[in-house]
Amino acid sequence: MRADRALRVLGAFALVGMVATVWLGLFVTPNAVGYADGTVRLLYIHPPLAWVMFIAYGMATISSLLYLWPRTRHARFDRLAGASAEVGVVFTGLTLVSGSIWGRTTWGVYWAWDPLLTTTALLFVLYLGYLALRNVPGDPDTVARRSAIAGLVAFLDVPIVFFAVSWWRSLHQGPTIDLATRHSYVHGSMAWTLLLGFVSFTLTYVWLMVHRYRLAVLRERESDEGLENALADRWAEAVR
Amino acid sequence: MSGYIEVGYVIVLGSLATYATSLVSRERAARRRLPPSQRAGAVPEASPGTGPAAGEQP
Amino acid sequence: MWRDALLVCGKDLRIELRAKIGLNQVAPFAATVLLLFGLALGPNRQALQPAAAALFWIAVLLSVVLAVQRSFAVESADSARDGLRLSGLDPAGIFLGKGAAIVTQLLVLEALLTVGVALLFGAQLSDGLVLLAACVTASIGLGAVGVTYGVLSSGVRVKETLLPLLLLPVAAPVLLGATKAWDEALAGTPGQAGVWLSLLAVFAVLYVAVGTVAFGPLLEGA
Repeated sequence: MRADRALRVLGAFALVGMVATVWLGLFVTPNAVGYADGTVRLLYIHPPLAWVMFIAYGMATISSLLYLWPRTRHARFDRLAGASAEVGVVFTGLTLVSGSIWGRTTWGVYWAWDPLLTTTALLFVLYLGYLALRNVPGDPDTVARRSAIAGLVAFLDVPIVFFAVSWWRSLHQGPTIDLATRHSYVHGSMAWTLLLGFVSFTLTYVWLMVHRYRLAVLRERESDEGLENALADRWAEAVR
Repeated sequence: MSGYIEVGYVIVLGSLATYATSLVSRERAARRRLPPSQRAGAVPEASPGTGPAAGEQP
Repeated sequence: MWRDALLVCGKDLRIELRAKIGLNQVAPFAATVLLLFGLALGPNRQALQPAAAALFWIAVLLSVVLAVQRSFAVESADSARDGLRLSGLDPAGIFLGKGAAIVTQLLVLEALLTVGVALLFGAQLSDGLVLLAACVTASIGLGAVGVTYGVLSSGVRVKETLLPLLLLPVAAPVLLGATKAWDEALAGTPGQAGVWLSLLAVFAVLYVAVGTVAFGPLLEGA
């Protein structure tokens, strides 16, 4: 099937990109440039992870909106929202892990209430709740609508959380992962590796999301099958 | 110090690889549990013309 | 809509007055939370006094979960929820009514907890206006998200564990804003509380609006 092959090609590109990013990131690019020794290497995976987290949740929110809008209501958007949110949660967790390691190498502590990481941590639990809600059994339409609304309510909280946490931290100026001022240090092979990182992680996200989506479709078919079989059994019993 | 970086890379890539593998294997298992007529297809933008993908319900 | 809201609010408050769950259970629960914090952090005032605002608002947040669960528990008895749906009441009105009832209960609870916090943690109550403004805006915000997530989780069997998981992360900005506003007031620098009070106000307005719109569809599906 064309779609299957396209997916495989996408996966191949993603994999190659990731391997290249790792190889360049760990072995080729220069070591100590403006950060503690070696820390700069996290630059090639931490920001890309955070970036994917945002587009994943953004995708989930847009899909939720499309599902709720009567003219575009379709099960596919509900599935997209769920798939994207799940992949998003995975990347959020990894953002936290990589950010934590960054903190350990830069400031000596695994967690320093950096505003971006704290917001990320709140997003993590926010969307874990969303996934928990999606897993609650129920009639598909109800689950879809309930999840879509919950997803939107959660997403609306994201900017509020971000501002609140930023104000909170600005009172006690402490360590922050300050990427802006480091910009001048990112040049040459580093810039290319960073770009490659963003691209590879994005491709990986798409690949993972499509597979998660397919899993959702297959599971739905399975439960439909189960339902049909149960109905058929009842009929057979009744007719006998 | 740099030891932490390598560990970080391993954790990140390892987790992604684990997740990817578990997704694919769960997908295969689900496909195997279905009757042959329902196995194909299942991509987000499947158009009505792609044969057996007609299992998609609106 | 407003008439329906008043109707529902009155009903909820009357049920509460009769059953006194808030008084008999939620308030003691909140007091227990304060005591437990005192046990865990005290008895030295050094650790408790600076944390007074934070502990106050954590107790409030945990109590909101109970209050919301109670608010929807009264609806699930005898298929009252179906009765609610079929009653012809405007869903937005139901939302506002239930929300207002919860806000009222919260304000009463906060008054009690204020005394508790002054007593147990030695909080120096000053700039009562800021304290009150924070309480009002925070309670409205909490009531709004509470009722929204309450109706969302009311129809499921795992509601006891689901509601806190959904509600508390979303309420995090309220916790932050209210605690910081109270910190400023208790420390004698009420002027600094402005940014936090505006955060609370934005949250309240946003979620009252969202809840009003979302309550109808959520009630249908519950």
